[in-house]
Amino acid sequence: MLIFDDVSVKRANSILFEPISCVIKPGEILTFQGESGRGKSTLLHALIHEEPQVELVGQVTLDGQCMDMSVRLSECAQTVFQDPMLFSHLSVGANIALSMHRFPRSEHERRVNALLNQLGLDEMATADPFRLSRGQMMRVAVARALAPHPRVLLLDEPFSALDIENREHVKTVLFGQIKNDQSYGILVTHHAEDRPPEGECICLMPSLSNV
Amino acid sequence: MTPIERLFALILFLPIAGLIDDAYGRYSEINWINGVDRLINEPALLDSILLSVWVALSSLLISLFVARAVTQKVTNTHDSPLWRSLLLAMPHSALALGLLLALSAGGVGWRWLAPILDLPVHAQYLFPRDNWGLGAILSLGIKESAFLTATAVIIAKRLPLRSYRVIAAQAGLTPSECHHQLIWPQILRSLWPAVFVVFVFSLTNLEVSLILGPDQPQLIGVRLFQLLIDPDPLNRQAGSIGLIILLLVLGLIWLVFQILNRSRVSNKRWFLPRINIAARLFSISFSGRICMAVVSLLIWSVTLRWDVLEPLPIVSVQALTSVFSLLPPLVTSLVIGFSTSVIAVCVAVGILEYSVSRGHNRLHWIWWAYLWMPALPLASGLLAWVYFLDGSPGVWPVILGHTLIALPYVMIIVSEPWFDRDIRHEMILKQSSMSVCLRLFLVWVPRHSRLLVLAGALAFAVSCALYTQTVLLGGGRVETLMTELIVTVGSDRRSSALAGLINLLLPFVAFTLAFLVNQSLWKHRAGMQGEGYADFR
Repeated sequence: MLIFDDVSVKRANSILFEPISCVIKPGEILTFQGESGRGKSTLLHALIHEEPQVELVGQVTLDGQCMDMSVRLSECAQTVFQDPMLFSHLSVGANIALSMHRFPRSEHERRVNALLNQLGLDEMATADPFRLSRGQMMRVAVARALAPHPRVLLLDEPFSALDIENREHVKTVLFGQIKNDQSYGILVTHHAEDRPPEGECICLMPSLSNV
Repeated sequence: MTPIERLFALILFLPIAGLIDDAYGRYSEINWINGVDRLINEPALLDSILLSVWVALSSLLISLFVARAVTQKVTNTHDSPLWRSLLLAMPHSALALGLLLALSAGGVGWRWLAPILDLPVHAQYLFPRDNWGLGAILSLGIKESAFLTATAVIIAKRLPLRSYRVIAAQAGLTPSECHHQLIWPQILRSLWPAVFVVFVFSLTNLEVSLILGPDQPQLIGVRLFQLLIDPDPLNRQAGSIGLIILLLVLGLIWLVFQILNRSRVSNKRWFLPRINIAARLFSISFSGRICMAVVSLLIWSVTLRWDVLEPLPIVSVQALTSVFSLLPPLVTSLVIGFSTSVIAVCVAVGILEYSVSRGHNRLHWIWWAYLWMPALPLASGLLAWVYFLDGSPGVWPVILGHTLIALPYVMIIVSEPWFDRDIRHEMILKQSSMSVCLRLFLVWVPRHSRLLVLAGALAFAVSCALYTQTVLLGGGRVETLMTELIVTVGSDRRSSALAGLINLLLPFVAFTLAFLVNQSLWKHRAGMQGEGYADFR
């Protein structure tokens, strides 16, 4: 289980939102929903990376182990950001395989092709990522996050660049893998329609003014 | 300051310690007061100082006005990094020699204009009566204008120029007024480290003033250099004392620059459009002067004989046989330039990656300090340390000296894109479990490869143009095209022109190669076609 115990974020010593406590079971997705400026993305970033002037407070426990603050969730999580964040010198396939660094090389090609197939990007492994449309680039970013079957998937408004048809398809692929792998998902969004249809915990971001 | 920056600060300040030691007379056992006395009694020292200040201020002001005019033009039109790189790559000494061979009484331009304007023609081609240092100002002005313009364009690109122009148009300002009153003052505020580099370079330059003069009296840099290489220990001590005084004065001027730069806001807008006309004229004749210098070098390189009364020289391929005598210095120049370039780029990448890992996001002032430090005290101080460490002058100390000058240029060019890293990319790489080294070699170096190749070419160009470091740290035994040029300038016009021409061409070849490499390297990657570094979405 992924447990958040009084978790909050401080920026320049001031707390951004009221501490959150919740328990996420395997295969479930925790959704943070709220307006801009509440600290949703900052929390997501703080779960992976230490940033100057940003402090993660409270305790996060993953599968019975307290989160090590030096590596945080970076070794067991993958992130999909609002922007595709692809590396322009690498092909589509190499961008996806980047997250599979710890896997044997023989598995890379098989997994990359399978994901491209799943996400409707067939035979694009050798393509230049910056010649794709923004929606296609976003799907490559999703494939990169799914490739190593991460224990935790961090999703920072991943559907904002997708059209309605692709959005539903990508949601099915993303949420389907979380359920099949019995992993955990943390979704940050402004929109209620981005939330998964089932198996989720919802956290409407509590602002300090509501305390 | 990171430990690496501390190390480089030490490398910068140790030569000063070496100089102080020399000035104090620890080895020569001569009282430092005698050294001061010797320096004060140097004939026409005050004239040299005043002339040097005049040359430095004049070339700085011309460069500033040219940079202002050219920046306005460049930011209004499509700017190509190619012309900026090529202008920056031009070795100033070769350019100075080209101008000398074009404009002096025996020069190409003079010979052609003399019959039309009824001017006297002499076989003599130096500038012996250039009491005002006009040749030096002209030559330094070209090089420094290019440097300041290139730096100003980079700064201007960070400003919201399009919005400023809309606001200015709505306020009733012309595009020129918008540039002079709103944009240029902002550029100037960030430009001051480069302005100080130009001032120091003009004040202490050795190469250009050795070629173009003035020689009655010589500029202060040449005077101190001659004292420093004198066999008499008292003269060397006087030279060291002179350099320490020069450094103190430059320190004071730096403080004045800082105070001037601190006045952040002004209640008045700047109105200097009239002077801009002169700057426009200077910048219009810019390409003309460069072409004139190159053509002169080319003509003198193949001239067998040229009678002063004849309009054209007797040209022969036989004249090119002197190219064989230039082969050893050419090979040495290539070896030193290539080594400097590779070492400077590798060290810069290592330092920048280390700085990023420590959370730094901007270049430390110590790298600018390397460019503020005049070449003469830095090189002579380094030489003192080479001796102290039981070394001897030679190729390796020369490569060290060249790298210390090329490294700051590489750092300045590469640092901004290197620091301008999206934290989300870092997070993706961290999640991929790659080691720091793998991240560097598989992602960050390829990402910046276009810029690194350009930076390497610039480091090579910087190395080609260095003279003081080569002479002092090579103990006079390391022969490069630059040293050949200076040695032959007063005696063998053809050899010096040929050395100048090859020296001028080498950086062009390096930059052409860099552009070809960059074009072929990432031609199938749309996101890698930005200016030297990738466009990241």
